[in-house]
Amino acid sequence: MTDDKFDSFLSDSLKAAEIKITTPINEVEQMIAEKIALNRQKKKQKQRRLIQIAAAVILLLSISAALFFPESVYALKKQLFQTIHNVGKSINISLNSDAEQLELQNQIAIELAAIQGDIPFKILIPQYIPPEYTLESIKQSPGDKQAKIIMTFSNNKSTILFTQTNVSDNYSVSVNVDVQEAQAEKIALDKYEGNIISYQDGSASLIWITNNNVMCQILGDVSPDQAMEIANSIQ
Amino acid sequence: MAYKPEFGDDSLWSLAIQNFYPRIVNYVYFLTEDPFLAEDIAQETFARAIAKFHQLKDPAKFFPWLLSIAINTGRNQIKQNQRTVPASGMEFYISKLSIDESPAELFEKQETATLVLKAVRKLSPQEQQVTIMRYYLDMKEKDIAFALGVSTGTVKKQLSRSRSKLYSKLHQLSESVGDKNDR
Repeated sequence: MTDDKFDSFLSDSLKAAEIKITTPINEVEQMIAEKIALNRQKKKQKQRRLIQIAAAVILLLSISAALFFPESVYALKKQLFQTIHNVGKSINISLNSDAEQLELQNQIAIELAAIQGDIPFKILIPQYIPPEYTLESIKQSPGDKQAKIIMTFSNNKSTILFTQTNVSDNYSVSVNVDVQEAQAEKIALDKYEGNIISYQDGSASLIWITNNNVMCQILGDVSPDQAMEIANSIQ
Repeated sequence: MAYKPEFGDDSLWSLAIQNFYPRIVNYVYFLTEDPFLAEDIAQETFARAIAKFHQLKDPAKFFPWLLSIAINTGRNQIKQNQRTVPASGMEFYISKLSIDESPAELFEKQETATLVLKAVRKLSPQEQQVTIMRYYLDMKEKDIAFALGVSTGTVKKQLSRSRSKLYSKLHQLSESVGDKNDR
């Protein structure tokens, strides 16, 4: 038998084996139309489920992050709620400044994770730093007997220091101020009472002591208002 | 947006269903041995094709494209159902053999067709697909390659392999059928 003949034999035999469709064509069309409707419904359900899963994952991430890094994630939590809130109102939202703050918080959290174990008190983290400042360093002061942490923030021109020192129960601090160059006054922070010294060159120094006996100081090229804002943002 | 078909005597989709639905059903039936599943897959194939019609770039490839959807649909559906029902339920389907043949001729032809189909079903799944596309659907190698998403070379190799397997099993039968036809 030639190749062509065998091919014809195969072809004829398979065609003879085909089944005849007895379903009327209009019924077939009807069933196809039903399947189209069903597929659309399934697609919508699938999209809805995807959104729900995404929301659940974000929520889970936020909760677990908040459990493991409570301070550093505060800004993230704030950011998420802000985002969700704003999305409801409008899609034209700018989060640049928040994003910078968030990045800064994450950077601080990473640096702190390396040294927190050696420090006898819980290191405080400012949630607000004036725009354009970045974290330059976080150091333990080696010279001091008491544990001391110095965070340095800087931009192109200026520097802000935030120091935290472990002090005793009855610790008091006194600062001598040249009245011609600076002015000192008592101020009320959200949780504590503090002392602020405003210098004529525009810099300031804010000192307060927390209930956990940590003396905090913000000093550098920062206005009194900004210093207070940083202090009030501390967690 | 997906094209919303309006079925009716004049619509293109009605024509496409009339022309290609039976071929898709039979293609799936040859592979699955389940006529009900074959109809279900063919309907799902058209439902998906209608929704995806805007993705068809070359109208000349409509049938191979439709077949590629059938292959994917079948694969998913079989995976979901995990069922392969052997040729049961055949009583609901009427074999499409010509009625102007004698009962003896009809019976013989049917027997031969059954034997060929059995031999085809013993091939590997890929070989079954190319064989049915080539010999039942009369498709060209390049169209088979398009439908299966493989190269023409692969199709040629698979066709040659499956043909020689079928020849070794069926050449005696084919010769006896050929002799009868010559007479």
